[in-house]
Amino acid sequence: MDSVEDRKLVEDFINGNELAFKKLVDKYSKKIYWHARGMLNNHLDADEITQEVIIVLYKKLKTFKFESSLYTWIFRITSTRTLNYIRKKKIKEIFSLSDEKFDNLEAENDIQSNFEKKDEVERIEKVLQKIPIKQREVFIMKNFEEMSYKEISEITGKSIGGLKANYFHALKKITELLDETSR
Amino acid sequence: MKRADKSIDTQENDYNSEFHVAKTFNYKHIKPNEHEIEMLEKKLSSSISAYAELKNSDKNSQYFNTLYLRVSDKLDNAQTKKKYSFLESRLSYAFLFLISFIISYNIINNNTDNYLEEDNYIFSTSLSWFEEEEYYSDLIIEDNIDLDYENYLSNELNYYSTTETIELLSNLSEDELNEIYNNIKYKKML
Repeated sequence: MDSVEDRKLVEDFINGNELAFKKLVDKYSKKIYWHARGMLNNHLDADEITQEVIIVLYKKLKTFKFESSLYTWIFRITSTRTLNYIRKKKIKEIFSLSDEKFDNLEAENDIQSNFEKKDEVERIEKVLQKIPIKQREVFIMKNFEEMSYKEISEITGKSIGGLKANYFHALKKITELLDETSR
Repeated sequence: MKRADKSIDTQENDYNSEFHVAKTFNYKHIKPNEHEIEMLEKKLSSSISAYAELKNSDKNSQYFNTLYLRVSDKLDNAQTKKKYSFLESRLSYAFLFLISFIISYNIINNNTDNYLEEDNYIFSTSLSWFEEEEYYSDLIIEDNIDLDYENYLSNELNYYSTTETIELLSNLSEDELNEIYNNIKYKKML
């Protein structure tokens, strides 16, 4: 990631340049959204997380000290927010507080509504929801976000060995589940 | 030294040179075969590439183009709410103070009403006889002042706010009430 450009944008924003913040949002919003989307399998939830992360960036960017790359920092926030959201949803389900009927509604402006390979994407998204969160996360970051184990390790704080094991088991499980759904 | 504390490059080397135990999943000594991983990735390649196409599709642009505007609106609303909530809190505190003042003022004023009014309470057993003497001397008492028996009792009942006293008085017998009346009349203590 271009850390020099990021540093310049952050400094400009801290000095009052709102346009610099917009450039940062334009640069990273897709990555934030797709990570949340992959973890949550729901456009509305992913949209909510994305907006939350951007608001957090707006409020907390002044405190960022470039001890890691901006990309890593943003991703860490996104990952944490997404995992917390999943946990909250599980707790709501336990206490029957969630509106299941609303969770399954398609958003009018869902990104994949006009997509030709929508069915194939939906298949893998559904299967991803059936595997453990740790496996899901590393699978998404490795395949959909094309990150290296090193980058994933920096973001999640997990060891590379652990990540590789999780990734292997995720691949196995997803393959099995996709084979089952295609029968 | 724990594995996670080592540098990432060292971790890579450690992983490649020894068996890795995935403790969290209770698997026996499994070192994921790189070849096996490649095979599995190939199997999933069409799904993965479909997802990648979705991510890179131009049809997403409308959503992402409007994202910043929506977030900006939320940030602006949050700023405005903050101002209003500050203003509202000041108004709330001012209003609360005003109400407390009015209530306190009324309580204090009403407390003075609990003392004997000259019109209604000619006699009160709460006063000592000396005080009543002074009270009498200040009043212009008509010669034919009528110590109305019934009114006297009802005034006494009204004067005392405790239910215990009211109950006591209301449960007195005819003879006892007469005795009280005579005592008061002839300035004796109850």
